[in-house]
Amino acid sequence: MRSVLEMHQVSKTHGSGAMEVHALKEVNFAVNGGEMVAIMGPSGSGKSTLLTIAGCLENATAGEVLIDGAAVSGMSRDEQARMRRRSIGYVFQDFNLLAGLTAAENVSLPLELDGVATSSARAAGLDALRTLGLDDRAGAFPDDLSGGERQRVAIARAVVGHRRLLLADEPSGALDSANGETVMRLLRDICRRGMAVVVVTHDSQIAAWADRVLFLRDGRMVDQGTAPRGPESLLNEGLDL
Amino acid sequence: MATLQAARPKGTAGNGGAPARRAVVRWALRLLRREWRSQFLVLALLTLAVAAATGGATAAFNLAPAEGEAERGSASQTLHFEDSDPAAMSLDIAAGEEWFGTIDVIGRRFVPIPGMFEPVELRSQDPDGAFGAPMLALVDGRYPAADGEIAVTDALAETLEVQVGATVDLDDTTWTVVGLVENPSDLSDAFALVDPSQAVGSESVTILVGGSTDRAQSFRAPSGASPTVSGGPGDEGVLAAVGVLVAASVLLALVSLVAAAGFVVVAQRRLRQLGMLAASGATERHLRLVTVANGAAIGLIAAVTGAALGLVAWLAAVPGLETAVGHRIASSNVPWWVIGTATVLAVVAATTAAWWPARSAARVPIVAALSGRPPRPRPAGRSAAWGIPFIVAGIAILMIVGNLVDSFIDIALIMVGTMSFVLGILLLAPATIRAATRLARRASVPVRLALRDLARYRARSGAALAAISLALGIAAAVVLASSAALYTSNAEGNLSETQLLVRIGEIPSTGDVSPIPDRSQAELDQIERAVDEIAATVEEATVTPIDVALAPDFEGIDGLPAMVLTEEVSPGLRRILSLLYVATPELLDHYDVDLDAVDPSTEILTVETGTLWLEPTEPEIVEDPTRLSAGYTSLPGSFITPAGLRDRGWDTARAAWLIETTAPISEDQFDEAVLLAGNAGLTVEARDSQGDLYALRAGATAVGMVVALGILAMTVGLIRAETSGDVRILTATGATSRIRRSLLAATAGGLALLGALVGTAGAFLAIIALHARDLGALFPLPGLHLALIGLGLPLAAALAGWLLAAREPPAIARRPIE
Repeated sequence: MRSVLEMHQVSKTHGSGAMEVHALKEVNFAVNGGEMVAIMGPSGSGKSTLLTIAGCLENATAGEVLIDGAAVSGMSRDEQARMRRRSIGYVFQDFNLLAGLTAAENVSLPLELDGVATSSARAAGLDALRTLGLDDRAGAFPDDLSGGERQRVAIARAVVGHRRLLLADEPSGALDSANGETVMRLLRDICRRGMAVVVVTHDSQIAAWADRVLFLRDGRMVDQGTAPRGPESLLNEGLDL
Repeated sequence: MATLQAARPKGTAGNGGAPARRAVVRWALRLLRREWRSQFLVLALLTLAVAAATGGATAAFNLAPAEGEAERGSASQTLHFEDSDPAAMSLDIAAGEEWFGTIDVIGRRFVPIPGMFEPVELRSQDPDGAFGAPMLALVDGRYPAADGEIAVTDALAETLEVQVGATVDLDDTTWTVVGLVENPSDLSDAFALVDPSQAVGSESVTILVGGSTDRAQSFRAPSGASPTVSGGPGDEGVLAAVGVLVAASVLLALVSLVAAAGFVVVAQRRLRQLGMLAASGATERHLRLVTVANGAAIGLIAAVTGAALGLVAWLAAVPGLETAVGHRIASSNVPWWVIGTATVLAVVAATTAAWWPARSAARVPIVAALSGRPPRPRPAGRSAAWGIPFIVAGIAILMIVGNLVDSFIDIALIMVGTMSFVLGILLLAPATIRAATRLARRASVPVRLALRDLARYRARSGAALAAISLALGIAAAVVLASSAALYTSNAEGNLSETQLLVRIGEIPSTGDVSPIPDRSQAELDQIERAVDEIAATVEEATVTPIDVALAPDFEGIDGLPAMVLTEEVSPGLRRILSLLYVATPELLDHYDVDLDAVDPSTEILTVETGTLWLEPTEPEIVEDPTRLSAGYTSLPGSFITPAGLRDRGWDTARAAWLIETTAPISEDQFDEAVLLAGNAGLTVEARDSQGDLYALRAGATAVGMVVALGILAMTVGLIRAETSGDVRILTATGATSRIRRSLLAATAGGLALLGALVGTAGAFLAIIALHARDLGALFPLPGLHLALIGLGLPLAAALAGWLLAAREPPAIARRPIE
C-alpha cells in the first residue's frame, strides 16, 4: 500500500549564521491511508514545523516530502496551492475560518478555488456539513458559531472534495474536553474512511486516539511507537463487552 | 462525488478560473463591508479627489467659453470696422450679407458721463440677431424699438441712477429707459442698448458671421476699409475641461499614493486571513485579487459618490459662480464624457494603488502570514534616500518654471515638479517618525511609547503621516500662494486699492491726441480746490500732482502732450504707448527709484519695453532710457526728467492728481468722489476690483483647514485602533486614565505635529522654488494662518486624543477579535 505522506531526511533551518535555528533535523516517517499518527513533543521541538512542511505551507530546507507519491520539493507555488486544495486538509487550533464567509462558504471555498462551479461546490460543502451534524448552521458566520461548531466547520472544510491527507495542529487546544472529544471522534471517523490523519498535540489523551505516536525533541524524531490504549479503544472494548 | 472530481479543471497550475475569482472577490467585498471604517480615510480622499475632478471639470467646461461668446456670440468670426462713414458702412454691411449669407450687425458709440472716467457705450444690436443671442438677454421691461429708447444694464442703471420708465440725458439726447438688459456671457459688460436701426451711425461696427477664418479674411469691403477679423470660437470649454481632467489625474495620482499606503495597512491587517486563504489552497494570484478587488471596490464607491458630490457641488455653486465669473451659466450643461473619464480614472487609480500592497501581501510566507507577523519593514532610511532625489528634482523644476506661467508646457512642468516634490515628501515622511523617536528619548513614558509605536508600525503610521502631510502641505501652500498672489496683484491692475486718480477730462491712450487747453491760474485754483474736496472724502489723504510734458507750438498747434510711441507698425504709423509725464520724486517713489540718484545723462524713464520714440515733435528715438519695473497700469509709466524738459524747451501742464490713503477706498467714498469730480469737470478712477484676493485667500485658507481637519479627525480613529494594544497592557499594569489619555494624545498630537512640520516645510520649499525670482512676494508671512496649521491642528489632534482615551478598555486580557 502506497503511503499518503512520506518524509525522507527532512530538515528545516531558520535564519543564518549566529541566528541559525534547526527546527527539524533529518526526520523520516510515513503515514498510510486510514492511519492516524500523533506527533508529540515539548514546545519548540518542531512539531508544528513538521506539520506545515507536510501541508505544503512551507518548504523543507533539505530532504524529500511525498504526498500521494508526488514530490513537493519540485513543485511551483501554484502547484503546491493546488495540492493543498485537492489533497490536503488542514485543521488549526484556532480554527482559521474566514470571517466574511458563512460556514457553508468556508467549507466550499477550497472547491471553488479549484474551479468547481459555485453551485456544485456549495452542494458538496452542505453535504460535508451534514455529515458533521452542522447542516442547520450552514448559513451562520464564524462569529455566530461556538468554538466546537467552528472546529467542526474547519474539519468539514478539511475533508471536502475527497482529500487524502488531514493535518491537525492541536485541534482540540481551544476547546473544552467534551468538544475536544467530539472533534477527535470525528477525526477518527474520517480516518476510518481511508484518509491519512496526522495530529500534533501536547496532550497524551489526544494522542491516545492515534494508531501511532511519534516523539520529537529538538527537531529530531526520538521515538515512535503504538499509542497507548486510549479513550476510543476503551470505548470499543466497552462496546464489545 | 465522481461528478465533483470530473468538474475540476485539468490545468497544470490550476488557478481555479472564474469560480475561484468569483469566490475571492465575494470574500473581498464581504471584508470591505465588515471593515469599511478602517478604509474610510482612503475612501474619503478618493471621493474628494473625484468630486474635485468632476466639479472642477464641469465648471471649467462651462466657464471657459464665455469669453468668446461675450464678444462673438455664436458666430465663428467677427469683422470689426472702425470710423466708417454711414454711407460706406451701409455698403459694407450689404456686401457682407451677400458674401456670408446670414450676418448680425452690432454698432457701438461711446458717450461721456460727467464725473466718470469710463464713457458709456451705446450699443445697437438686434435682439433676434442670428449670432448675438449669447450676448444679449432681457432682464426687465422690453427691448428698445424706436429712436429715443434705450435699455441699460444693471451696473449702468446704478451709475446713472435710473430704472425702467425713467429718462436719462446722454450725448445731448433724452432717452427713455424701456428695459434692463445684460450680456449673459459677460455680466460686467456695462452698456446701453439702442434700437438696431442706429447701427450704421456708430463709431465702430462689428459684423458677426459664420464660416471659416479664410472665408472671413477673403472678404473685401466695397468701401476699401480693412476690417479686423477675429478668429471664431474654438473648443475652449472642451480644452479647459481636458486641462482640469489632466490636473485631476495628477491629483488622483497623488491621492493614490496615500491610498497605496492605506492599502498597505489594510493588507497587513488581513495578513492572517490571507494566510488562511492560502492554507485553503489559494494561489498568489488569488491572494493578490483580494486586495486588488478591495481597491477596485473602494475606487468604484469613491467614483460614484465623488461624481455625485461633484455634481451636487456644481449645482450649488452655480449662482455664486455666475457672480464670480461674471456670466450666466447653464447648470444642466454637464460634460458627461468628463464625468465618465474621471470615474474610470478613480477606479483605475485605486486599483493601481492596491496592486503593490496586494503583491507584497501575497508574497508573505504562509506560515508567517498565519502567525500574523508582517515581514520586517524596510529601514526608513531607504525610502528617505529615495525621497531626497524626488524633492530635489521637484524643487529644480519649480525653480526653472518660476511664477511666470506663460504656456501649457509651464503648467505641465509645474504639475510634474509638484508631483515629484510631493512624492519625495511622502517617501521622506516615515524617516521623520524615526527621527522624532530619537529626539523623544528622554520624554515621559506615554510620549516615548507613543512615538516608538509610531516608529514600530511605520507602515500604518507612515500612511497616516503621508495623508496629514499632504493635506496640511496643500493647506499651507494655498495660504502661502494666496499671500504671494496678493502681493503680486498689489503690483498689478490699474491702481492699488488705496489710490484714486483724478484727471482733468479724458486723456486718450490711442488715436489722435488733442491739445491741452491753456488754463488760467483762477481755473487751476478752482480745480485744485475740487481735488482737495475729493481728497477730503477719504481718510488721511496724500495728494500728488501729476504734470504732463507739452511740446509747445508744434506745426502751429500749441499744448500738444508729449507721448511715448512704438516703432512704426506700418509706414508713418506708430502706436501710442503712453503720455510722457514729468518725473518727480513722489511719482518715481512708486517705482522705488530715487530721482536724485538717477544718472544725469538719463532723460527718459519708462516701464515700456522695446525701441521707443517720442512725439509730437519730429519723431525722436529714445536713447538709453532707464527701464522701470512694471507697476499699476493707470499710473504714469513714462517720465521725462526736469533736465530733459529743459533741454527740449518743453513746457508742462497739470494733468492729474494721485490721491493716496492709508485704508482701502470704500464704494461709498468712491461714489462721493465721482459726484464731486463730475461737478468740477474732472474724472476719477479707482481700483477695478477690490478685495477679491483677500476673500480668495480667506476662503482658500478655510477650505484647506477644513479638509486637513477632516483627514486628521479620520486619522485619530486609525491611531486609536493602533494603540489599543498598548492601552490594554498599560491598564493591566495599573496605568491611570491620565497615562492612557497622554498616550493617545501624544500619538495623535505627535503625528499631527510631524505632518504639520513636513507639510508646511514642503509647502515653503515648493512656494520658495516657485517665487525664487522674487522672494519678497512671500513677505510678510501669513503668520496667523501658518500658526493655525502648524500649531493649532496638532493641539486640536492632541486634545481629541486626550478626550477620546478616557474609557478603560472593556477587555484587558483579551486581544480584540479580528
